[in-house]
Amino acid sequence: MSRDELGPVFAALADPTRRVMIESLLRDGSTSVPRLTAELPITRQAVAKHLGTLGEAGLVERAPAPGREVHYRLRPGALRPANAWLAQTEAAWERRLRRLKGSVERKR
Amino acid sequence: MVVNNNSNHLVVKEMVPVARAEVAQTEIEIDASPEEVWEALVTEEGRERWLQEPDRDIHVEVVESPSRLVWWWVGEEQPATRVEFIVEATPGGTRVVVTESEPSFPLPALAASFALVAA
Repeated sequence: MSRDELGPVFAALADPTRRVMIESLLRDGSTSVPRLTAELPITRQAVAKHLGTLGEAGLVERAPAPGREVHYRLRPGALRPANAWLAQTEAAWERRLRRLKGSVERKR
Repeated sequence: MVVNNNSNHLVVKEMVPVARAEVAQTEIEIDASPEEVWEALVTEEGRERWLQEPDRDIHVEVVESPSRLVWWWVGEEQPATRVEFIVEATPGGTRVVVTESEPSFPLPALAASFALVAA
């Protein structure tokens, strides 16, 4: 996947309130509009709008839950592309450092 | 994370891992002195023997001989990244620790958290 496809993800996470919501989900697993409204100094409407933005970026989805209240959770694997980039960068450095080691030790 | 909800201001502390900027870190042990390793990092002639990265230009930011080197990698195909080398003597030779980061995209650390959640 190209880095360009990460654009909406980074844009969604550029907002501090949305990052707090993500942190809350990382901590609690799932959440709801009433719960986030109680945690954050913003209106219920603002919470719903931010959740919508996170949903469009593919970061958050509705979670199955008993009762009438709608719950939300992090979408598993949503940030895998960014994770793959990290793994690629580290693998490239492992190759370069092995070449560095070879070149320095050969010179001795 | 701490959210101070007493006033109308949202105060967020300890945004780790969201705000953490480092991206990738790798290290290796080399059977040579720090000075010999340093030569291979800091000179163009030395880099030619191992780096093989013709599409990216190097702009050196920090040179602290022979223990710390920082350069920016700038290429047309990809966003600029910052590469930091720490070179330190060990009982058997030299350890090199490389950290490559992309300061405008501090999110791989967060991605790692997501991977844990998904696991």
